[in-house]
Parts: sequence; C-alpha cells; structure tokens
Amino acid sequence: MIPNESLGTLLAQRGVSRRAFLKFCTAITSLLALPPQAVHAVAAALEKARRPSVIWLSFQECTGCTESLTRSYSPTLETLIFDMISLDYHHTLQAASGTHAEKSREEAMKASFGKYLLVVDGSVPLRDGGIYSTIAGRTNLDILQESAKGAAAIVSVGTCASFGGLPKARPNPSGAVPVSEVIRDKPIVTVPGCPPIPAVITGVLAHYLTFGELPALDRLGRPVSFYGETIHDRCYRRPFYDRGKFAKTFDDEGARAGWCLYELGCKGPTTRNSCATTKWNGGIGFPIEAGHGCLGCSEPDFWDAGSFYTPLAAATVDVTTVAEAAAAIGAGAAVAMSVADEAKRRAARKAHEKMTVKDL
Amino acid sequence: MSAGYIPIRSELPADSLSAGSVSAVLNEIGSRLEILCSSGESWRIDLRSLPFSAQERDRLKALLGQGEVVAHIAALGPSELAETGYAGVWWVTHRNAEGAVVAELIEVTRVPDLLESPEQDVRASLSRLQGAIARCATLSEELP
Repeated sequence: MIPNESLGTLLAQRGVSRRAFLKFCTAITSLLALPPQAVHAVAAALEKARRPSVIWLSFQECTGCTESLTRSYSPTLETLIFDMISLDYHHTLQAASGTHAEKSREEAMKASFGKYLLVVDGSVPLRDGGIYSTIAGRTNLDILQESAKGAAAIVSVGTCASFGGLPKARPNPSGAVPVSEVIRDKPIVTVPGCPPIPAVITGVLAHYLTFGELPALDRLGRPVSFYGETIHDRCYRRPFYDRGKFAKTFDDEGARAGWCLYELGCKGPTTRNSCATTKWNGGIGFPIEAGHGCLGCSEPDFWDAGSFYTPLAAATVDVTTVAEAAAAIGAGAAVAMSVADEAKRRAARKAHEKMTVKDL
Repeated sequence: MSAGYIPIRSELPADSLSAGSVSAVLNEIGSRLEILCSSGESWRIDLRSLPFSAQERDRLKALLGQGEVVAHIAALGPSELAETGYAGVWWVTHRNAEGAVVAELIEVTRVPDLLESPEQDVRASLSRLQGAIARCATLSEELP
C-alpha cells in the first residue's frame, strides 16, 4: 500500500461502497463516544486521513494487550482500522525475526522520523541497568529511548506501560517503571487496563486518524472519551447502590437479583474505564454483568491496593447506612463515600495489604 | 458457537425500570419527535453509550414496538433498520461480518440516511452502467 494515499482512496480501491464507509464511520463515532450527530463530520475527516506509521514495542509484559486486540470480536472494524495504519514493527505479529526485524524498525524510524506513532506495551525495568528485559541483546530502556526520539507521540497500551502494572507490584524486583518515567519530552497517551478493552486501543488510533491529533486526556494521560467516567457512573446496577441494596455474598438473593456488588469488593466507584458501556467480547457484557465486582485494573497500583473482595470503605464506613443516606439526600453523600474510597485505597497501597486465602 | 449464545443474564426486579434510563430515553425520543414534526430536524441516540442492562434494552425495544418497515443492508456485515411502532422512530443495528453489534442507535428521522443511495455510489454506478450498455451495443453489432 502507498503510505500517502488517503483513506477514502484506499477504501474506494478496495471496492468499499460509500454506504459501507458511512456505516463504518457510524461505528467509529459510537466507539469514540462522539455525539451520534457527528457521523458526517467523521466521514469527511477520515476520507482525507493519511496512513501513519506505527512502531509497536513490547517490553516487560504478558502479551495480554496484543492478545486483547488480535482476539477482538469485531474484526471488521479493527481490521479496517489496522489497515489504516502502517504497522511497521511489532515483534509478536511481524513475520520477520532477528536482525531483519530490528532492521525494519530502524528503517521505519528513519523513513517517518518525527511523524510515527510509538505504541508501547509492558513496563520498563531499570534495576541493574535494565538487564531484566532485553530484545536482540539490548535493554528495553535503550530501545525505548532510541525509538522515542523520532516519535510524534507515544501510546502506552495496558496498565504495565501506563503505570508499571504487575511488574511494578511490590517488591518490584526488576525496578519496573511506566513509560512516562523514562520519556518526558513527548506527548504520551495512556490506555490502561489489564488488558485494555480492544475497542479502546483502536479507538485511540481511530481518533488520531480522524482528527490528526491526540484525544483530550485526563491528569493520568487517559483519553477522556473512554476514561472520563467511573465504571460505577455507568453501571446498570447503580440504581441499587443509590437505593442501598447490596449483595452480601456472590450467591445470595440480592446477587441473583442484580443488586450492587459494592460490599463484595467492587472497585467500580474509583475505577475510570468504559467497560460498562463499550463492554467485552463483542459487547456481550463486562465483569459486573457476569456477577463479579470490578478489580480496578485500569487504575495505578491496583495490585497493591488491598483485597479484591474487601469493600473499599469497609474499614471506616457502614456502606449500607451511607448509601441509604446518599439516596435520601442526593449526590453529596455519594461523593463523600467516593472520597472515603480513595483514602482507603491510598492507605492500602501504603500498608501493602495483600489478598489472603480467607478473602477468597 | 458465538459468545452471544451464552445464556447468562442478571435478573432485574420489575421496579428497576423506573430507576433506569428507559423513561429518560423515551422522553428524549418524544422531544426529538416533536422537533422532527415542527422543523424536520433528525436526531440519533447512541444506545451503546447508555448504561442499559440487557433487560432494560429489551424493555425499551418492546415499548417502542414494531412498525411497518424493516430494511436490511449488507455492507461490511449486516445492518437492520426497523421503523418502530412510532412512525419516525427507527431502531438501527449495525453488525460486523461475524454478527457482533458494532453500533446500535435510535434514529428519529423520516428516512435513515443509510437507506438513500449515496451520490458518489450513484455516480460510480452510472459510469459502470454506461460501460455495460456500451458492451451490450458492441455485442449486438457483432451478432450476425
């Protein structure tokens, strides 16, 4: 494919009709959480978009982020978005290996210097000179610093690249850090989640393609369109929280009736992500719909923030009483509870509370 | 077997409807239908952006009912555009080639955009048809 071709030309050459393109734009508009009225504006922008070069680096990670993307249930959409970029290096997906693979990265960097998108999954180990994770005999630190020089922007995919993730969990034997602690002079978008929702990964790429710039970000570098609200804000069980109706065990009558899972440790109130709306497995559902609370995997240090099965505010607050009061007097009490949740998380991180067999 | 067949759904009690988004969406549809009547302005509601349970979604669909028109489009997977029991209110579902829903909307409009033949496609088809006519004419001349 010719890198300078516009997307409109590319799709027309492939026999994609205008109607099919508009349908695709409707899906993109929904994916990006843009107002549904914006479909024609998105179509106009995408039609003129040029394919950006993308270099994807995988560091200290489990490959779950790439699996999330490649095992996506909406291949037409994801495939089309992937067709719109020129994925010039991804050592898990590319056919080339060894010196040929590294050469392709170097060539792509040279050809699109200052313009390519650098996608990183995995954290970067710094202890002992970064020797705990190497590719082709070079440390992740070295490769990241080299590859970042010519990048227009960096996308940190997954909680490991975004916040350090599991490799950074205490006692952090490899000295793992997120990308943002190594590279400080480039715009960085974080797409946390363990793994992130595949549609969110492609959504960021689609936004870059559509608007030619990075999306609006929150204080942790997350795209506001996907991480602007908490799981709790958009949870279909929220009406039960507001009424003070909580499941007490995973198999009681309340759990079966779809009551709120807050008392069973759900981290939805302090977790920003779009699982409740974008959902998983082709839009089938998300963990809370399957009857399990949110683990908070898209938040920093979620692994060190106490048990997954202890209520966020259990140590300091009577959940039912506060929630009933919240229902009676409005949002103020709910906000106060959320603040209590944050304080509990911070304390848990400091004390390095671990999950025990008893919790399970 | 696709994941869509996994028969797990949480049971919401009947009174949860009033606390959910169904009545809010019905009100929004009502307001936009009023605008469609007075000024002709169309509107779309992205159902996937709403915190609906599967039951609430089904309840909304049942409340809107089924109208006279159902159109199917085969483009990058199947799409169904069905007029609900309320004329001017369409339930639109776009699926990918594997049948997974990639967008689901309520369109408040006289005819959804996608049903019209796009100008670019019409121009392209004119050019193709002219070619076919020319080929036909050549074939006719060649025939004894």
